[in-house]
Formats: sequence, structure tokens, C-alpha cells
Amino acid sequence: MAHIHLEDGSFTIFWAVAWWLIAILAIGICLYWLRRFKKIDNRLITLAGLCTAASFALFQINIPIAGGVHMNLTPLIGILTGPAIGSLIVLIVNIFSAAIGHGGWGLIGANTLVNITEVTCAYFLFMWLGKLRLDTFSRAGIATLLGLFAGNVAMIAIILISGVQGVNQSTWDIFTGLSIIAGINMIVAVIEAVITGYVVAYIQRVRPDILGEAKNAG
Amino acid sequence: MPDKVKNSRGLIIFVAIVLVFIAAGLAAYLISGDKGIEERFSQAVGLGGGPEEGEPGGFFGFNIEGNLLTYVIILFLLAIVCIILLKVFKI
Repeated sequence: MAHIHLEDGSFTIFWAVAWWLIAILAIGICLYWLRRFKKIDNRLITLAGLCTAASFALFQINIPIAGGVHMNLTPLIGILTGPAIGSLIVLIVNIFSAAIGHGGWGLIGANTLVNITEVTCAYFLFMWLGKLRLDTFSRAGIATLLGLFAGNVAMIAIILISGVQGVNQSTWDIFTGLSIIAGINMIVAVIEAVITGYVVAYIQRVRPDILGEAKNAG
Repeated sequence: MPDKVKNSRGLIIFVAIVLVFIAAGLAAYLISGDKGIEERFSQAVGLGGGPEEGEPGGFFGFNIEGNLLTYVIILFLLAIVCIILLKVFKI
């Protein structure tokens, strides 16, 4: 859900490349882990395909809340497929999004890292909350809220570290402006948390084996 | 009974976080006002983008970002891939 809505050229070439390289490194680690340690179940591939399609379809829709916001179901992706496959999904969704003109090509690396943060945090929070034996809806809802919050923190951190070309604002001013965006995003996070909570609770009721897949997905 | 207590504990935590997030969101909205996401972003980082031209209409205010034709094509291809995966691998 957190997404750096800036055009190509907003970051210097150094930082655009740096975020790309870090994202490639993260994806490389995921691929290595999947090949080396995880035997991928065919059903997980199908689930990944469905998650990619759903995330892409929803992410491009401008939702008329507070002037316009987006959802991309990253926490749901993390909970259902795990952080390794989830990271691949968000990379693909970001590439497709750039292909239709939603986000710059140079920012795919940075946006992928933001989304990987959401996927990973949501997954591990969901698993950790399972140890507290909370109900599935609450676990998924809390994991979504905190995962999306972490994504917004990552988004702010990436922009503050990179800086934006052609602006004279102080770092504090940029931080304040981005914090307001993060605040608006929290409203959407609530909606996304309710949706994710119901979807995961429903899956837990009718197909608990699907959530079992995520447990082993890492 | 203990399960019910644990269930309500999860819901209480969830609702508490929701209330904090809604309060933060409303405060942010009151400060920034009604803006499109690109405009909000540009102004936040100091690029000073003006009001978005926006696509009039849409469906109850819901619009598609970017190129609609490419969106439909990619979504169509993804749907085909999903159908094939469902047929071959099941779920």
C-alpha cells in the first residue's frame, strides 16, 4: 500500500541504482532460499499467480478516500505465500505497474523494498501472533495494520535517505510532509486490515491447509 | 471459556490499533485536505505539483491509474495464466 508516488528523475541516478541493487539482492536471497531450502508445492505457485493478479488489479484502482489512495494487499500476500514468494510477487506487481505508467521504472527497486517490508512484517507478525493464540481475524488484522505501518516507515526512510532532486525543502519539512501521507495511508490500512482479516479467517475456516502452506513457506 | 477470552483479547488489541490509526489518519486529512495522491506526494517532498487534472467521471470516483488499455491487457494475460495454473496445478 505504501508506494513512492514520484516520477523518474526524482532520485539521483546513484540512489535509483542503489535501491535497485538492494532490491535485486533481496530477491536473489529469496530465490536462493527457495531453491536451496524450500521445495515449492505446485499449489503455492497457483496461489502466487492468483495473489499477483489480485494485487495488480486492485493496486491500479484509485480509491476516492481523502482525495485518492491505493491498496495492494501486500500483507495478505505475505500471510498466504510467505515472505520469499511474496517478495517475488511484489516485484512483478511493481514492474507491471510501471508498465502501465503507475510509478517510475527507476523507482521499482525502492518500491519493491517498501512492499517487501510490508510482506515480511505481516507474515512474521501473523506467525508470532499465532503463538499468543489469538483468533485468526485479529491476527491477520493486526499483522496487516502493523505491516503497512512498517511499509510507510520504510517509504519515509528511503525518501529521506535518497533526497529528492530539485527541491529546497529541509529534511524536517520533507519528513513532516511524508508523515502526513503516512497518516492518510493509515486510514486505508484499516480498510485493508478488515478485508485481510475476513479473507484469512474465511480461508482458515474452509481451506486451513492453504495457511499451512505459508507456515512452511518461510 | 478461555478461548473466548483469548478471542476477545485479540479483537480488543485490533480495535485499539484501528482507533489509533483512524485518529492519525483524520488528523493527517484535516492538515492536508482533499488532494490526489500524486499531488499530495509532490507537495510533501517540495516539488510543488498543482492540483491533479484527474480523469473526470470514473465509477463513483474510482479511477484506474496509468494507461487503461495496458491495464486491461496485463490483467487479461494474468487471468489466463491463473486459469492455466488452476487447471494444471489446482489449489
